[in-house]
This record gives sequence, C-alpha cells and structure tokens, in this order.
Amino acid sequence: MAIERIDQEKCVGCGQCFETCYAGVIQMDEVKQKAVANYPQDCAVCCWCVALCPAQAVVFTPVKMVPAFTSWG
Amino acid sequence: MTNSTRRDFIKTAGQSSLAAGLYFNLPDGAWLTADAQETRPAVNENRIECDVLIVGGGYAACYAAIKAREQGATVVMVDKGYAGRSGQSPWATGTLLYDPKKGVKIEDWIAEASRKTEFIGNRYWMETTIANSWDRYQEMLGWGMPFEKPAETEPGVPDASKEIFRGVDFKGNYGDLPLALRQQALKSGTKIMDRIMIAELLKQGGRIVGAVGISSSSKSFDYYTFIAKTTIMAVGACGYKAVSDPPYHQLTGDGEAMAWRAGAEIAGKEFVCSHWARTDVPAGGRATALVHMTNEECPANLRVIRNASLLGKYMEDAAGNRLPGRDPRLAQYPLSYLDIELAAHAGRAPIYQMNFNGTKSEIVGGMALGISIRHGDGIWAADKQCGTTIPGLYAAGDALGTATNGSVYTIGGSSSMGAMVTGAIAGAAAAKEAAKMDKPQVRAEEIARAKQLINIPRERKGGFGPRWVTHLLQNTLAPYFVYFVKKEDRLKAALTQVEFMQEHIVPMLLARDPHELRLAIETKSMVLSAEFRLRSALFRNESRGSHYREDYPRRDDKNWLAWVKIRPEQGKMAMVKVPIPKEWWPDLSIPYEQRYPFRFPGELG
Repeated sequence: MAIERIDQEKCVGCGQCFETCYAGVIQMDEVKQKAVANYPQDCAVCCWCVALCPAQAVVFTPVKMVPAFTSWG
Repeated sequence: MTNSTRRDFIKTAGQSSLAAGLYFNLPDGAWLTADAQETRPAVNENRIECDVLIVGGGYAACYAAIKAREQGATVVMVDKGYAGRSGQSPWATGTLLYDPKKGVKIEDWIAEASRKTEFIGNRYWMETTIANSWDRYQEMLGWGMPFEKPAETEPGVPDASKEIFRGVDFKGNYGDLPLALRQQALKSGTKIMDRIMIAELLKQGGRIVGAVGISSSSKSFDYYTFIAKTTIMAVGACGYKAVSDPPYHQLTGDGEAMAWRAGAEIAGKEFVCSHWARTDVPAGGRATALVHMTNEECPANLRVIRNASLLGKYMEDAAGNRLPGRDPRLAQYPLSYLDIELAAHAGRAPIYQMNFNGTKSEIVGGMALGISIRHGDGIWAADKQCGTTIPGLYAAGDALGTATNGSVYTIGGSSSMGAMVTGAIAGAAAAKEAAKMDKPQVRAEEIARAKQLINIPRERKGGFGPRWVTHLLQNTLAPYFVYFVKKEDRLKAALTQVEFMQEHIVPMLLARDPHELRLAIETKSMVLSAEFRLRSALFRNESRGSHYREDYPRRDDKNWLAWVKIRPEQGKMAMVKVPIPKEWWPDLSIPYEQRYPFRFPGELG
C-alpha cells in the first residue's frame, strides 16, 4: 500500500501528516490550508500519516506499485 | 523528447500492457525537461549562525543537541525530514543495557561480542557503548522517556547463557522515544529546523565552518547558509532507498558524501545489512503487517501490527523440500539474508518461507538495499571524542564509522544505544571546542562554491530524472551475485557501471522543483556510496561476516584482522588497511573451524 491522495473534503488542515512525512510526499496548500500528496511515488510506506490523521482523509492504495528490480524477476 | 510526449508514450504503453494482462510500473522517464527558467520557482536566501550545527534528527542528533546545550552552546539541529521521525530511530524496539552493579564483568561481555563480530569489532567503541548505557538509560528515565522492562527479566543483567545482556524495550508506539527526545532537545533550548536538507559543508582554512542546505518542502528554492564553529554529522546509516520494512527510505549517505568531499575518510563499506525481504511484497520485510494493512485496517498503534515477525519459521526450496535447519551452535546468530542468498547461489532458488497461515512466500533481499551494517560503517572515527579527520567536523550514531559491529550486525541494541552514547560524547566535545573559538568569518566565495554545486540539477534545462537514476543504481547493486555473493570480475563489472554513472549521469541530474532537488542530491550521494561499497568489497580479498567473496571464501586472519578505510588522494579513492590492535586478535591456536563456527560455501574445499 502507499499514499494515493489526501481527500480534500475530509482534510481539516491540521498539518500532522505534513509534519510527519519524512519523505516529503505530503505538502501543505497554503491557500486552501489543506494537505496534499504531491509526490505519492516517493511514499516510504511508514503509514504515520494514516495513523495520525484525525479525519481519515488519507487515501491509501491496497498495494504499493514499485518499479521492480530486475534481479527480483 | 518533451515531458508530455514521454508521458503519453508511457500511458499508451501502459494501456497495451494492460490488455495483455501485464502491469509495468515505471519510474519517471530517464530524460526529463524543465520548464522555462522564468516560470520556475524563485530563490530565497537565509543565514543562520550558531556554535554547534547538528545534521540529522534521530537518537544521535537529539542526544548531541541536549549535551551541547548542557555546555552552554547555541545549537541548531537540521533534518531533511522531520526530527524524531527520520532515519532508523523510530523503528528500533529496544536497546542494549549493562548494569555494572549486577556482578558480571564487562570484559566477558566484550569477549563474546568480539567473537560475534568475527574479531574486527572495535572493542573500544563496544566498551564505550556498553559502559555508558546504564547512565544514558537512567538519564532518560529522569527525563520521563518511555521505556518498559521486558517481562521475563530485569534490564542490564545477563540471560541464562551469560552471553547476552537483557536490554530494555521502548514503550508505546513506534517512534515515541525519538519524539520524546526531540521534545527534550527543544526543552534544552535547541533550535530545530525540519525539512531542510544540508547538502554541502563549508570549509575554510582546513576547518569545517558550517554548511549550506535547501528547503525540500517549499515551493520556492529556499537556501539556508549555516555558519557554525563545529558541526556534527548524525545522519544515520546509508542504504539505497529500497522499499522496505521498516521504511528507512531517506538514509541515502548524504552525510558521508558531504564529509568525503570535504576530505574525510570513510570506513567499513564492504560489509552489508543482514535483513531480508520477500519478492511478492518487498515492502513487507520481516514483518507481515504492511502486507495485509489496508486503509481501513491501519490502526493507530503501529507497534502491534509491526511485531508480527516471521523469524524462526522454516524455509523450503522451489520443489517444496525443507531447507536444512541451522546448526544449533549458531542459534545466537540472527537469521540473515546472507544465509538465504548463499542457499540461492547453491542452486536452490527460489526460496520460500512458511507464513503463519501455512502459505508460503518467496524471499529475496530487498531489505538489504535499505540500510547498511549499522553502527559499523561511515565516517572514520579519528579520535575518542567522535571527531573525524577534518577539524571542526564530528560524527555520531550510525554515521560515525566506529566498527562497533565489525563484520556483521550482531550486537543487538548497539545501534540505538551507540547513537545515544556517541551523540552525547560528540555533543559535549563539539560544544567544548566551540567555546574556545571565535565566530568563523566565512568567505563569500566558499558559500558561493557550495551553492553552485548544489544548484547544478536546478539550473539544467534537461537531464536525467533522479528517480530513474536511483532505480538504475538499485538494479546495478541488487543482484545477489553483486551485493552479497561477491567475486572480483562481477564487482569490477558493477564498478564500471557505477563509474559511468558518476562521470556521465550524475552531472546531468535534473531537478524541476525543490523536492526533486532533494532527490537529485540523495541520488548523487547514493552513487558515491555505491562506489565506496564496491571498491571496499574488491579490496578485502577474504570472506568475513557479511562480506562473502566467492573467490576468497575463507577468513584470512594473517592478512585481514584489519579494517578498510577509504582516503581521498588527489580526487581518487585510496584504499587503506588499518590493522586491529594485536590484543584483540582471536587465539590463533584454536583450529579455524572452531574459531569461526559459521561456514561459507567453498571455504573448506
């Protein structure tokens, strides 16, 4: 699984997911005061954004599609 | 080729693949183009002055900050992610602990630890870590840090075999302890700056006098110039961004890369991480939790789900035959990825592991690209104060090349406690040195040099996407016959690839926004780290611990009771052998097979 997007309807703009995202995937839209997942392909799958979100606004995919290493067949 | 054209191509290719029932997930295109210069983000400048600059945000960094503040220094701690969430610190579940009052000699403990590191563990740093552990623990208890005793024993006392000491667990959810240390650092008066990536050190008159960093989260390119009397590199171990569990995604060797460019020596890079992953769910790592977790199921308490370890289950080959169990004498050694790769190389791949529910999963070593040996490799520790070979530059935690774990990560809990102990030493020493100094007057030319180097990917109009280059590097290193089962010809082949990347690809990395500039700098660091790793692996022509050379399958005590470090000489990597003190040697009168109970394929034949 990995982050897909932040549900803009549900997001309350608390910024906790933005603070905790060490991979820089989530940023704050300063105009709308909402969190946005601008770089979902860089999600490290730590899941803290999901765990911390008070509004269940983080939409996660069931699997994370990663570019396979050739050695993994 | 324009960006939109490439995207269209990928889209079309994706559709035809879908029709065939195949799914490809490509990284960004190899060659990307940037928007016109005038539409790209603006540039803002910031300048910060302090006594002690600390790079990183885990146990080592927080501890260094607290101890430097105790000395009265002004301290700024800078993390490219979020201090308290970054690195490996949030994912540690406990630490080693030695209670000197429990009547067991520290020498006995050290002797056993030394044997497990195949005799090249640095006994000075082992003893420093172990001997200081009780004081650090008591100190953290006094600060109200979250710990809990394991149910079965008291912390700090030996277990029944008297070979290991019971440590102490971190209480609560993953990440609670580093977050509590972050709070303690703030309470001490440390200034913390998150989401700023330190990218280049400033050097003047032979000393490190600060660093230049960039904001990775702003829309504009915000540059930060730090002027500091002393700098501590506490950026953790170095991996290659494998999607792994735990998700050590940002440990990209930036600290050692910066230190290397400033003239520091790098050590221990021939040894590798001993964790493994699974082909079907490489993000799953050893724990099953991430595999099954969905949006609905992801609970607030990450600890519960992440403790579902598969360790201890048996493995099968492709035909369903159970692989031989491990020799009971080796029970104290953790099950390692190396075991699995060696089995694969013997023609028994693919290899499966039984799951809790009776199904089986294929295993590979994806995790291995995620981190390095931990508290083993890194910037060469030049003195007992965590100083490096460059005046003004200290290092702590996994970034400090102490060789505590020698050739394989075996001293459980030494990475977390080692980070706290060396962080405390480095913080105090860096602050004491700063107290004797005047504020450095840094020439504008030196700041301009650092910024120019950082800026190269930003100023290009077209170039290689950092995600694509990272993927290319992962593919070069990930094959087991390069990274784990090593041989001269294959190492040289991989090195040729990496040298090409250094020469022709890294200089053409492109960053279209501040986030991509972070990725480009990380990629550049990882390519350099790969060169360290391959050159060190070629140089150590023996096998030991996590370093297996198919062409030299035996430990060679006559020549290799030694560490490898890399020294910059006229822009090249000079390989240096550093003998360990003779009093740390094993008893050479003990027969080889008893001295080393773990067998490498081919070593006795």
